[in-house]
Amino acid sequence: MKRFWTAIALIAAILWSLGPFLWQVVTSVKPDNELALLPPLLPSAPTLDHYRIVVNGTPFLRFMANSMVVAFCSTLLSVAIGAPAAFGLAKLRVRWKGLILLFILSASMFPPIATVSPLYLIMTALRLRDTLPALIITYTSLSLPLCVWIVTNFFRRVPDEILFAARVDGCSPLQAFWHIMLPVAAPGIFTAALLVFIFSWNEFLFALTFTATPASRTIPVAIALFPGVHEVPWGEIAAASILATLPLILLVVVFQRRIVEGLTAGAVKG
Amino acid sequence: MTTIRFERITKAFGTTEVIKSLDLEISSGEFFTFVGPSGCGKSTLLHMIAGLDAPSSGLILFDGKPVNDLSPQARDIALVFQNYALYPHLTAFENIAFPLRMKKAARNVIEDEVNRVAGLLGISASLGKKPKELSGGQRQRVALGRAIVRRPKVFLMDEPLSNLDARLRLEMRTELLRLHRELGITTVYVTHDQSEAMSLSDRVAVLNRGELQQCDRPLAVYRRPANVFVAGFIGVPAMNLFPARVTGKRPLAVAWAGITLSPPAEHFPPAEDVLIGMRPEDVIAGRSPDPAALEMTVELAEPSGPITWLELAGRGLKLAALSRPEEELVPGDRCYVKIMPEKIALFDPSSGRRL
Repeated sequence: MKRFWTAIALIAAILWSLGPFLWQVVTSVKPDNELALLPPLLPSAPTLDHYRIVVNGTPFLRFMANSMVVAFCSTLLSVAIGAPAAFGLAKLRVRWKGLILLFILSASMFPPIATVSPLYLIMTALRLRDTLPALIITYTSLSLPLCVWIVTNFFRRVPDEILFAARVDGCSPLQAFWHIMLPVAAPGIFTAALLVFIFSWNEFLFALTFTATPASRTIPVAIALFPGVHEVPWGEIAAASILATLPLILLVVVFQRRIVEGLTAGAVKG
Repeated sequence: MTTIRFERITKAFGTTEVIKSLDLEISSGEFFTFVGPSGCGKSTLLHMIAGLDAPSSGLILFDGKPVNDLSPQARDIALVFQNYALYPHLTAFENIAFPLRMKKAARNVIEDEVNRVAGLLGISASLGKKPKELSGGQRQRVALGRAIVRRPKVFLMDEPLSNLDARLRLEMRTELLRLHRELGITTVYVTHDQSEAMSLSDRVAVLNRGELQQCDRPLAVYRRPANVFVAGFIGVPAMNLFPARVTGKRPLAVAWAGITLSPPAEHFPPAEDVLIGMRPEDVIAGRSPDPAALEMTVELAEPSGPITWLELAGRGLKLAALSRPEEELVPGDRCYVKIMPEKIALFDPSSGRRL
């Protein structure tokens, strides 16, 4: 009986979280004339028309590619800069470690809206407005503090002895970082990378401000700009949202095993 | 083959002095052990030899050349850690091969060397496994393999056996001795376990609170402890230590527990008060009455096979002693205690030094 109620509670929780997404799925396959009607809850004749319109009738693949490039580059840069920084903060002798970490944390406390205008001016001055690098630079700088914090905490959990061993076995500090620290703390790196990727993929405010044409527009902005003057194409918006969500779901499914797997299982006596 | 010399080495972390001016030489090919209670500075010394920590002042020399400014990888040493510190993402083979890979050794050389070392340590069958799939003993062997595979100048071990269960620990002790004999590499070993230090080492250095108490061959340290600390630290069961009074000069006579003893001493006690130290094996209890012996009561009896350790009470003191198992002394029994006067150690209670 207890298990029955547990199951019910679990199903309720899943429905609660998944509900809006399922609604979008249903909406995306409903014919236009049923979109605003309830009942029917499920479409009488499911259609892929909305998907066809989104993919063929708009530069959707272009938006998708833009988002990919921006999110991928931001993630790569954040990890490439953040991980060595985190290594220094977690494991090397650095003065004012605590202060540096506090400063990094405080930098991430600024509300993004407060930095929109100055960054807009900077990007204009650098002639980067309406380009992908503008977004990549912005996202990297916004996600670096979080990235450094997460990775620092993962690095700290790696026992010092493993790095001592690497040093004695012939590694320079940089080689110890590359050969030992990175692979050992890979789950932490993946966690940070995934969060940066999701943030960059979903970011709306800066993307809306810095982009002007489909050449650099990312998906969240593109979807927000779907509504015309006279009508809101709910079906297309739903279809585009579903398409935009798929890469994220795929990423999480692929990497979740690496994230949950034990950090240093077997390295030292537990 | 390398000698290691410490010249006036000090180490402080902030205002805490961990090592207070140490001068010491470890000979080439020697199995040398630093032993002491936790916090005595022994691991810090090992880290300084390895180059993982720098001394606050003083010189560390390998074969007469200062190595203070050399990085760990330039010192050609190997270090075995208490918690093994294996690389969790690499197989046992790759763990052992790692130092060779860092030296950019040829592939076939690596293959041969790893297999040779694995054979030596009896882990050939486990080379394909990751550390988490290995037992504690196997992990310890992989860690040893990683250390010896490139034939370092100096072999450092930081309590390498303390995470193993009792039986495996004894097995690995023998293994370490065998390896040391076969390889002949200068080995510096750190442990808090005095019996490990005694059974493994050519020489031991007893440390306490960052100060060298005594450095000698294990049996010399055992038989002639330099001070009260060493006397109490080395040897299980611990040495009996009691205050006593000097009552006669030539020959030296000391009154303790109502009897008079005449222990040997190199220096005449500067004051009337002294400490006397007696190893439990030099305090022998038996059933047969003897007017010259101390009469005491057995509190605890601990048979260990060839001998039975006793804890005795009487005359307001407690005494660790030994008896032959045939005496069959059990708690509550009366017994008579004989003390070997020539084995008694005398200490100055104010300085703690042996007299």
